[in-house]
Amino acid sequence: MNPTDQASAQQAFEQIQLNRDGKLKHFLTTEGLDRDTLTHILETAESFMGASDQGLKKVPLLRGRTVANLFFENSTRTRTTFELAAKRLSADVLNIDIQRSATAKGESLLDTLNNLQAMLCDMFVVRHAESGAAHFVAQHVAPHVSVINAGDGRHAHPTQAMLDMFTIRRFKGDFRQLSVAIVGDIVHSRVARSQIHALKILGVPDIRAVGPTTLVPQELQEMGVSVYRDLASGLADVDVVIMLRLQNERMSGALLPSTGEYFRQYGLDNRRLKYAKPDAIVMHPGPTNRGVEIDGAVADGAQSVILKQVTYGIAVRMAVMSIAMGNTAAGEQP
Amino acid sequence: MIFADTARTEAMLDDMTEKLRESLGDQLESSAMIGIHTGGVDVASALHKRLGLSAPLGMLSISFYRDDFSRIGLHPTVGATDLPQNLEDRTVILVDDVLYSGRTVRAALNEIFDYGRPARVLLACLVERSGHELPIRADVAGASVDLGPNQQIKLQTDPLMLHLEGEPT
Amino acid sequence: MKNSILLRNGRVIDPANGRDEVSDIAIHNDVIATPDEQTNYDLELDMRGKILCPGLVDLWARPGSPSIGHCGDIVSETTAAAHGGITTVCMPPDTTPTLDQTATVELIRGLSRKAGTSRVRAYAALTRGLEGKHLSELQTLMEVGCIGASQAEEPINDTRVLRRAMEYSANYAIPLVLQPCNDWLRADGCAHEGPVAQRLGLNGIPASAETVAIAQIIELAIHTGARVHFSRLSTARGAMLVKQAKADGLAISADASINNLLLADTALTGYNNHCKLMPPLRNSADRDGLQAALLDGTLDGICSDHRPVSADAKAVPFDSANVGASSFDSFISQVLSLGNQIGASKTECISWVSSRPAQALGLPYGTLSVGAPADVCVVEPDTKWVLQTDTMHSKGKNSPWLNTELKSVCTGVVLRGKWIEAPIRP
Repeated sequence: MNPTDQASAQQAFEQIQLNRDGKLKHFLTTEGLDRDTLTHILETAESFMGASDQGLKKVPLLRGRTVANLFFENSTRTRTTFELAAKRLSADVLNIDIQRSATAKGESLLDTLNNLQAMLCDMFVVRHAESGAAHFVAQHVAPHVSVINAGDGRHAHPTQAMLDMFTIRRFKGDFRQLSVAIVGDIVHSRVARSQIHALKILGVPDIRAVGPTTLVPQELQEMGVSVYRDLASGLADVDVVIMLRLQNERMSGALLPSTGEYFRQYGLDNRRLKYAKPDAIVMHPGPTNRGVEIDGAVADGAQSVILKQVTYGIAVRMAVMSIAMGNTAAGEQP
Repeated sequence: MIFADTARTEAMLDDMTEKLRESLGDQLESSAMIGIHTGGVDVASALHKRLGLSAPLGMLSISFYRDDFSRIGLHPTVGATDLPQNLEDRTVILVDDVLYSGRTVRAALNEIFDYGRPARVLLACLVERSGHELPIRADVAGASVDLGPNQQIKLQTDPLMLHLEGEPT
Repeated sequence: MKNSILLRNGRVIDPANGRDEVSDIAIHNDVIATPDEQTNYDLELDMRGKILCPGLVDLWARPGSPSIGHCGDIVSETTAAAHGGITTVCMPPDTTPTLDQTATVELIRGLSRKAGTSRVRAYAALTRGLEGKHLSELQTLMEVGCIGASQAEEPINDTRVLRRAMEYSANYAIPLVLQPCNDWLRADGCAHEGPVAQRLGLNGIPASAETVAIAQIIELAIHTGARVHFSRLSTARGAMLVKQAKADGLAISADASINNLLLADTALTGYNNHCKLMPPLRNSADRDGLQAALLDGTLDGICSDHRPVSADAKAVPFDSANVGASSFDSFISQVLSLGNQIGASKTECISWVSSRPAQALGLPYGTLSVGAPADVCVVEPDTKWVLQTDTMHSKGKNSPWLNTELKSVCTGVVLRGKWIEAPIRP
């Protein structure tokens, strides 16, 4: 393909996620998907929530199928939610701690994939420190395998974004009426990128990115967000406040002077939460750094839905896994 | 074309009500009625009203129990499962609009057993048609009919009536 | 006469002499001669409908550097170069071992003589081991055939070492071929810092990594009198700084790679590893700025930046993939198609890859003057072909242009008076 032919390159890039009927086969990024696809995920998750509210924890949808959790980067929390989601769909789960196994012996990512495919895995849940790793895996798997991105570098974390959308929908309803502020280290955040794409696709008219230039570069505007430099204006009358985790390593790269100054400028406490609408909800992808980006009183307060996000995470991942695996299997039919 | 107009459909429901009373006798009051989304729920609520059952109507969405997942993927979800009462050791009246291959009922039975172990399950269908693929028969049916594989019975709601689509081969 | 060739009736384009006419080129031994009726030539070739121009001079390319992840050897890669019309390949010193010893330089020269399909000339390592600490024996390396000194892509973070290196080189009029890049600003970046990298979540290299380095080197060039050639500019601002320095009368020259002149960072869409290059593909305004700088004479040439990478080293996620693309096979085709795009004449295009770069580094190549080294490139200007892994002679089978149609092709070269046919692979 001619590399100067941008439109078709972008299209090919986006279509890797879809089967030949245009349905979600791999879930690598929220970018480029349509509203129906995202809404289908949210509604399916709603049904799983309903089943679990009825006391039905496990359904037989993925019985006889094998899900391999390929975690090239440590994350016990995320891996556990994927594992639980797969088990509640009756799938067999293989947890592969890559850091300590094959690649440490010099085996390439491609070799690892081929070995797992030879073991007849049906789905790879991939977490990797490099942006684009999940795309790379999706480009190289056999047609019967579905790939879910559980976070790739700074690029995307689409299931986290979808559970955030689910949370917003449950508490706020119609996306087309909302103002949403994302506060903090957006430039290094795969979660924020996926949230921004999803919010746009679902029709949120006012998406704000709040933070200092070192964490929120002006060029983010090209993704369709408004950039704010202070909390007072950034949070003014918003319906949803999403606080991002501030990684400790940001202090070493001269991006910020100190966590103390960061909290004084951008930390969310009850006083500053008043800039937002009185019924605004506060979200955080976790784990929280209390006293760095969020005050404990806010994290535990009445407007916080942080623990709800964790609960919804299972249902949303069940939805994504069953939709993607179903469409992959269906795409295999002659 | 119309298979059964509203009056005929209502008559079929009346007939089913009678048969259910007959076969359940004094167990009727303690039994749980469950409709399968979406057509089965419409039929079940009509029967529920006629029988005057005090226990609320249950609803079953079989999306997660279908056997065609690997052929056509996950269906768009229709309704949600809502079972207001414990099914353990109860008599369950499972209701669907049309009994055809029997696969929907198979899925519904599996789902019901994930919720509990009923004492007995009775299947009530508005129409039982030819083309069974599983050893499943209705205990109570409003009508029985022989149809070709290209023909379909569709339930219309408000008012309830049945349409026949497709040509016999 | 022994070893004489006559190329008849070609369209001779020789920018150094302002020629563009249908004519003959004669070669006696290994130099260009005046065609005459009396000579009975060993080889006479009908060149009707073909362009005859000087063999191309490529100021930056790696003819198979034997380091991990890169592939190819001098034989395979100079064959690829000849198919792209290149007769002189100037290679950077970041080989294993580094080109900081006379023995290594002589080894390279010997290998290239033996391969014989394109001439390989080397830049000496400016500092020992390219570590940026101690000067190499620069004048000794020049005496065994180096054509300038370079730090390749390794930084000299101690500005005082850079100053001394420039002063010392000025002493012997050694040209310094420097790729301007501030190492601190480059950091762990792998793509142009901008919306594309932002969207893909890739670490960016800001345009200022280049401009800060250019400004620093220009000031030191004024201070030390060093002769500097900027290799592979990638930004419009960088080209402007060079233009200003030239206007100020500094002895400075510059080039850009064919990749940076044709492509922008939007080509990275979908994590296209073929487009992972150094310097990175910049945005389209930068690319347009470089094209303008080529047209107005700010840039002295186009280099191929050929860097063959093994398939394994590209079959990994973007950030881990090795930098580089194979540009030899399609070089003259791409240069002419760039010329078409930006409205340049064939004479201009050929000057950017022959006379101008040769003059910039004081090399005797890139001209068809009588008595000049007999390097000629033969181009069929209207023959279409498709670049494919099996039509490429380079062992590195990665290029942004794989499976695209090219509109002209080199069908042979004369190198040191020897005719080398370069048929397109079927």
